[in-house]
Formats: sequence, structure tokens, C-alpha cells
Amino acid sequence: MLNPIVVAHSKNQFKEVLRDGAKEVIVAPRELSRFGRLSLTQSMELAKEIKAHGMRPLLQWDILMTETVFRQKVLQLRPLLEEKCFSALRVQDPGALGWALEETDLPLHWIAETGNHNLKGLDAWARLLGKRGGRLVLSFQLPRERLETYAKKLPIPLELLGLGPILLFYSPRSLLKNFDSIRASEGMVTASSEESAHKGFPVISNDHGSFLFHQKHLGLLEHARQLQKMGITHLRLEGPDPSFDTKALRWLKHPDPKGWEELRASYPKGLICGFYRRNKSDVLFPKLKNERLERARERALGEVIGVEKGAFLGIRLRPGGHLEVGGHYLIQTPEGKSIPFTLHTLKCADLSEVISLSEGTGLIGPIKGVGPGGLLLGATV
Amino acid sequence: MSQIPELLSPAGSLEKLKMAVLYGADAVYAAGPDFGLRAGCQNLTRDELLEGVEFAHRRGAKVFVTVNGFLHDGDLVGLGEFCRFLESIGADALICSDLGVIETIRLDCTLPIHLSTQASCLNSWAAKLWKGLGVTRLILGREVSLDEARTIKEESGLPVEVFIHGSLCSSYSGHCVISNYTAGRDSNRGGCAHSCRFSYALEDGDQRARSFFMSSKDLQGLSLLGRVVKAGIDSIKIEGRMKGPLYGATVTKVYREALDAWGTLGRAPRQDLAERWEEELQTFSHRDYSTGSLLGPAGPDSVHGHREELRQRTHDVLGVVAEVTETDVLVEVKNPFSLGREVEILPFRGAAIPQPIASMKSMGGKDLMRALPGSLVRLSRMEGVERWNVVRGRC
Ligand code: SF4
Repeated sequence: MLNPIVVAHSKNQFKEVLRDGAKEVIVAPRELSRFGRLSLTQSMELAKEIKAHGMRPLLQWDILMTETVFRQKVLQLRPLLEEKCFSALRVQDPGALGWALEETDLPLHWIAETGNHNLKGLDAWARLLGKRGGRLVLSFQLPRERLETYAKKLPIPLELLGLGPILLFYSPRSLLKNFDSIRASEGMVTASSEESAHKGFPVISNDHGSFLFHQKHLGLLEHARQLQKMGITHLRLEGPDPSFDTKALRWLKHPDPKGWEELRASYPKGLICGFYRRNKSDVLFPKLKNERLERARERALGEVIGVEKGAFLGIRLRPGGHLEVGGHYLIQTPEGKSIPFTLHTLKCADLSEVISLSEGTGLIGPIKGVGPGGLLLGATV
Repeated sequence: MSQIPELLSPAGSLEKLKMAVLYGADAVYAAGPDFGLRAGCQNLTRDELLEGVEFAHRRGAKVFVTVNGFLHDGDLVGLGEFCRFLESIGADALICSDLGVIETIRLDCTLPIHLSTQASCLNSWAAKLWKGLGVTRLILGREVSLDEARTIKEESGLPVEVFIHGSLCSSYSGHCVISNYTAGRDSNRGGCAHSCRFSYALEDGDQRARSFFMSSKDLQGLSLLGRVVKAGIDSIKIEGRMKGPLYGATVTKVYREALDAWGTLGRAPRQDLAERWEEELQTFSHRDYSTGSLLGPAGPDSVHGHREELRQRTHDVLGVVAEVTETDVLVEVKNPFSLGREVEILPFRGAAIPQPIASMKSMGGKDLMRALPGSLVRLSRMEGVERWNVVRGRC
């Protein structure tokens, strides 16, 4: 069963989603939650109302906190918890998790949306949540096949963002404070870089810091059936306003391709499925490293650190490197060319001739086409 | 008298590792061929790690190996074996951020585990949680003040390490994935494309401003060493495995001298010394300096607000001493310089040695007028110059 979860920032918002199948509603107090809008009292009242309708109010405490902030927040949080009006506590700071494990008996939702891309780690978090009736909120960077594996192997309910903004950056600093001309109406501006493809990123600045989002939203609703089949238990909806959450809730009850296309067409932001099909966040890694040179470096005897045209190459010997007159070697250039040679003369740094050298800098005769950065390898490798 | 903290320097290559140790680091941090956070960095091969550990240990320094990416399942393959290798060569600790990595390591070796700043450990409750998960030292999030660091140490009973110098992420570490979505490079696996350093047009309806609004100033905590000592911080860390030899050598040397002065005097060193160190920290490229969050939350003045290229410096690195013979100093040239120029050799201890270049020869012994990058040149031997000294010149 795929349970939809929505966020309510007011009683009115809650009323809009009331009849459409959400069993859980996130309540986000301004003081405790990154994008919360409710005062602590309003949060409490809303939670009671949600409960009165037979639904589960979830308290969102997802800010990250330095020691000073943490102590203040715990003071604000305690009265809220004493009212016993929340069904679960959602946290993202490991300190909040540690505190809640010791100081409360509420079920805990551990928001593991940042990092947490391997089963071993997730399993350890799940064990930590133990018998508290907890839940893991998974990263929306996980591709389908990983989600499938995790759903099979993790002994705990799993939640995923199904519709909503993609948070790219979270800083505690007020990064918009320096701009008098930018008022940040309703706390939001857009940022576009002329030097890159970064266009129209929404930026929010509030008491908790600054947040930058992808210009498009994540939309995984069309994969909802698949997610349900694989064992994801909860799907979170965070549309730009409650009417979209309502549409999404209705669509989840009666999914049909046309309804999804209509929802997509009316949605005020572009919708993407992110890394659901494939996590592409390492596609450029091969370009960051010269793999060929990296491999050669593992076997290199030395490195060319200086060239005197027509006269000498200066070689810094590497750990275990050894040069011997009469030996056969090759130099691999950074461009990948291999140039074999036989060593006829070898000099030390003081220009004295030697027949072998095992450390320091050696001077060998010139080799055409070799520049600094070339790697000296044994000819047999 | 409070204890003087360990000085921990970056080692982006074997050469940088040796220089950091020789310039006074008590410990260095380096990455192996895989698993580290600097995908574009020339990390150390296994042979280099072995030599690096031996080199450091012979001089009483430690080597911590970074395994601090947030790894995907597939990336974990081989990690256990790599950690066993590190244990076998005597590495002193592993630096990790990811719980899956920590779990893997704890199965395969008994090396101490330092929690990377990437994990953004910001408070004592987080510290206690990580302790329960096997962490033996905390590299605190860069948002933590020195006073808070002291509390975290007292409450958790774990040694704490704080960043003291270098570039800063403006996001909570580990909480920026801009590159993942815009550049195909996972910033939590070493692929950060530095999107926060770009210029942005900020728009709010018809209001517009152009700005480098996300770019953080660099951290410089030299003047706060007294507070660091008083707070009982166990280790101070210099950022910058990717940075060049002038940076690594100078920053390590300055903080070494400053820590030694605190150790000897038990109070702030002489004003003239402090001023000389501050000047030294201007020699290499850097963004404007700030004290980050060491004294309290970083405010709007912690934003650098300029283009990256407008970094200031007073000196250029000209080269690194590759060998010292009976008669010559052989310099691996990094930037061009000509006969007659006054260069400065940065010794491992003490003030820079100024030296006008009266004669200069090629590595084969021919007279030269100009030294070019990619060559080795011979200068006359100077008193006090040693292998791995940095050679610099005023801009
Ligand atoms: S883009 Fe900037 S804030 Fe983001 S990870 Fe890179 S350095 Fe840090």
C-alpha cells in the first residue's frame, strides 16, 4: 500500500486535502522546520485537528543545528511533545535523532535524503531506529533499481518524495542580506548564472538560512504503481500549492495516463523524474581524471620533472623506483603516447655518472617528444 | 597550561605530504587512489601511501587517510580490502562521512575513525550518536564556534578537530548537490563544480542584482589560536589538498610557528611576529579572509562577493628545491624567472632567505638567462636550503 503524505501550512490547506486520501499530514513549525510557516501554538492546534479527523500529524524538525541553536530548539520542542498531539517526529540532524531516541518515545522518521546512497548505511540507520516504529525517508537521487533492492532488504517503512521541489543547497548563512534592492518578496528570489546552465534557481532566505532549489520539480507520480510494487510504503507530495497535492491525491486513487498528463500540463513548474531512471551524478568523473595516466602512475618508476631540450631529462624517482644503465624503459606521456628507450647514461643531481639509482633525482639523455609530467615505466609492463 | 593542538595539513600528493611534514605538520591527511572526496585531485597510489606513512612516521607525524565520499553501493566494492591495506602499512586513522563506509571499515579493520566535516556534526547530541556508531574523533562542521566545539568535546568525551584555514563551502558540508544536477558530478563524491563561486543574476519581479552571493570568504583563524588553545581543541586542520606548494608550505609553516610560540610562551606571541605571520598568509592566492563561524555564526560579511580570479597575493611560487648538491641547488621550476631577480627560499624553520640570482645554469650546466616552467635549473648553493623548500618571488 502506497500511503500519500502531504504538508499543511494552515488549517485551510489541511481542509483542502482532507477528503482526498492522505492519512498523514506533515506539520512544520516555523521555529523547527526549514520551510515551516506555523507558530508553535498554531502547529499544536493543527495537529489536534488532524488527529480529530482520524489522521496522523507528523512533526517536522528538519533544521540542522549548532550546539547553541540545538539547545534553544529543544526548549521550544518540549511543550509541543508534552501535548502528545503528534504521531511521529521527523528529523534530519543526527543530533535531533540522538536526542529523540533518548528523550521521546515517538516513532521517528529519519530523513536520510542527503547522502545515504548505500544499503549498509541505510540498514545501520534502520537498526538504530529499532522498534520505535520508525521510517526512513530515502534520497530522491536513488535510481529505481536501488530503490527496489532497498525496499526488499530494509526492515522498515520507506518514504520517497513523489512530487515537489528539489533542494540543491542549504546554508545557515543569510546570503541575500547584502542586497537591499532585492526584497525577496515572500522570501523567494531566482538566481541565474551567466557562466553556466544554472538558470532560474529559486532561492529562499529565512531564519534558518538560505536554500537554493532546482528550477524544476520532481514528479514521480507516473511511477507510483511501480514504487508501490517494489515496496516503497509512503509517497510525499509537496506541490507548489495544496490544489496540486489534491490533484495528485486524486490521481493516485485513480491513476490514468491522461490524468497525469493533465496534471503535468497545469503544473506551474517543469517536472522531471531526476535520477529515477539512472543516477547520472558520476557521468563526468572519467573526464576529471586521466584514467590512463592514473593507472600508469600505480606502476611508474619515476616522473619527468624537468626537460633540457637536446640534453637531459630530469627524473624524480618514485617509491620503489630504480634506474639502471642498460635497462629498457618507456615513458608514457600525459597524452598517452608510450616511448620506449634503452638507458645509456645516467647521472646524479651533481652530474656525476652512476650505473644505477634508487632514489632522488636522476638525469638521463634526451628523448624526443617527452615533456614534464611524463611517467617512466619498466619496458616489460 | 592548556595543551597545544595538533597541526593537520593537506597532502594532495606524495610531494605535498613530504613538504607538509617538513614544514611542521603534526599530521597530514591524504587520499588513496579511490574513495576520497577529490575526484579531480592527483591522489596517492598505494606505493606512495606506503612511502608517505614511512616518511611521516620517521619524523613523528601521523597520516590520516580520507575515505570521506558519500558512497553508492557499487563504490563500496574493494573498500574493506583497501582499509586492510592501510592498516598493514600503519596509517593512523581513516576520515569518513558515510555510515555505510563506517560500517564497512569496522568490519574489516581496527583503524580509528575520524568523522569528516562532510557529515556536518554540529552539536553534542550528534557527537554522542556518532560515538555510539564507532567514531573516535570528530571533525566538526565548519558552522560550529570554538565555544561550541569545547562543549561538544566535553559532552561527548571525543577529541575534536576544527578547520582553521582555507576555503569554505557556504552550504552545510554534504548538503550541496548543485553539481549533481547541473554538471553530472556528485559533489559528495568529489565532483563539486564550484557553482557557488559563479556570478548570479538575482531577480525578484523587476528588481535585479548581479552578484557572487553564494561565494564564501576563506577562513583564517591565526589570530584565534589563543582561543583555540583555551577551548581545548585537539586538532586544527588546514584545508586544501588541491592547492599548490606555496600555499601548503606557507600555511603549515605559519601555523607551526604560531603554535610553537603559544606552546613556549603560554600567551600571545609578540606583535611583530604576529604581523609577519599575517603577511605570510598574504603571499599566496586566496579569497578575502574571515574568521568564518569560529567566533559565532558567519554573517553577511562572510560572503566573498568577487570573481574568483580577483584573488590577491604578494608572491608567486617559482619552484621547489628538487635536490641540494655540494655546489648547487636544483630547482624544479613552476613559474618563469630571470637572472637578476631576487628570489626567496622558504626554509622549514625561520625567516625566508632572500637571494638575488647572480648566476643560473641548466640541469646540464649551461649558463641560463631565464628559467622556464617544466625545467630544472641550478642555482648556487645557499646556506640553510634543503630539499623540498619552496622558492618564491615577489609579484
Ligand atoms: S558548490 Fe560551493 S557550496 Fe556547493 S559543495 Fe561546492 S564549494 Fe561547497
